[in-house]
Amino acid sequence: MREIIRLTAPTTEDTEETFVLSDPNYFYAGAESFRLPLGCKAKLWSYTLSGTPFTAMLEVSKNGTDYEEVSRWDLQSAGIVSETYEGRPEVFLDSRTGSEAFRVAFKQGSGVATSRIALVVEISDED
Amino acid sequence: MSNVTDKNGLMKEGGHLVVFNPVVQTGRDALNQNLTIRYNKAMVFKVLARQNVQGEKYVCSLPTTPSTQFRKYDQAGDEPVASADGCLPARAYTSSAGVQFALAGADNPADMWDLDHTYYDRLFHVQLKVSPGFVRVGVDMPTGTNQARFQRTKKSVGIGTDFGWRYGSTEFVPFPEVDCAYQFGNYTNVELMPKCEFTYGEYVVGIPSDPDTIFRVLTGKEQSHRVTMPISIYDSAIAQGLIRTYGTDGFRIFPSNQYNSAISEYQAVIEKECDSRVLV
Repeated sequence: MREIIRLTAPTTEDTEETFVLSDPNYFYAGAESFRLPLGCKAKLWSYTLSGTPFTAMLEVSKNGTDYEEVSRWDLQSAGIVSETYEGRPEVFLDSRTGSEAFRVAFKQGSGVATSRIALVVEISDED
Repeated sequence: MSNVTDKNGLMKEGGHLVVFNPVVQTGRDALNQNLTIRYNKAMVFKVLARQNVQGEKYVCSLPTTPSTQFRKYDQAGDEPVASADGCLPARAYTSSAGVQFALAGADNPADMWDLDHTYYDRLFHVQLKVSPGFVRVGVDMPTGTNQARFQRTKKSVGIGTDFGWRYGSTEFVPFPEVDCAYQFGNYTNVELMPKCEFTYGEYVVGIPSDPDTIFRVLTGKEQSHRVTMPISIYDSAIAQGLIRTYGTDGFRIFPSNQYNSAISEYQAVIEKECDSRVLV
């Protein structure tokens, strides 16, 4: 099983916060974290930061409570930054217990809701 | 793709479909009546034709509503409720009754795959693909009976436990008179809006009246497509439904070196059990 989900979220009027990620195809509502289905891997295919400058931090948790940062991306000036892992998506979380989860936090200099993040993530129980 | 199935995994006309009953039964050995042996049975169908062959897709939302009952993966917390039609709540799976796909105008409007015994000449072959693919999927045959087991029938597993289910897709053959239901589970913390995509065949079928054909199909000498019933326990409702529709609940599978015994038993099943209207 392989499923591609496109997670997107705007920044809020805070200087530090966790994104409320949503997928317009499959999620009824957004969530601050995504608990990985048991036995699945999360693979990052691409990320896109757009709007005014901010920093995004991808954080993972093995128990659903304690998160650690595994990636950090900067949008240093107004515009857009994007990277695609052509053909080799990065496995950033692998579920063994069913408690594993990930989330994306942001920091920005001024509390303005003018930016957005978009992630293309594959959820898969295959290598 | 085999010689008997097309690129979608559906049967080609003229091919044989075997629905294998994985529950081991016991009975007398055909060669030595004093010996008790274990064996399996299977239904054998010849697919005479396929209806609506140009359009065998059906796409819909999950048939849930805010009043659908769910069970939950976590002991704590409120009972899960779908926020809207088509939703699968977070950390929830469907109740023991499962869900069925309603279709107005169908023989059973509450379940589009359910037929009665008067449809003995029709057989559905149903493949379901659910998106997102990380939704757990299962089939209860009959409805309300979790058939997923580990170590014979020692331990119940299934969609509400850590194993005994699959992600995103399932294939089964619903028989007339056997009520079935789907189970869906969402292990994530996000309420999902799954898409259900059916690829189905409505086959015009009959049971071969030639015991040699039955033997060749069941011993693999003649190519066929095999689908295994999603069961671990042979519920009486399944046997009764098969007998009501076809007159028999299947053919015993013999070793390939017991041709004569198999032929005589198959001949008896065809003549004494099978409803003559189902034979081809």
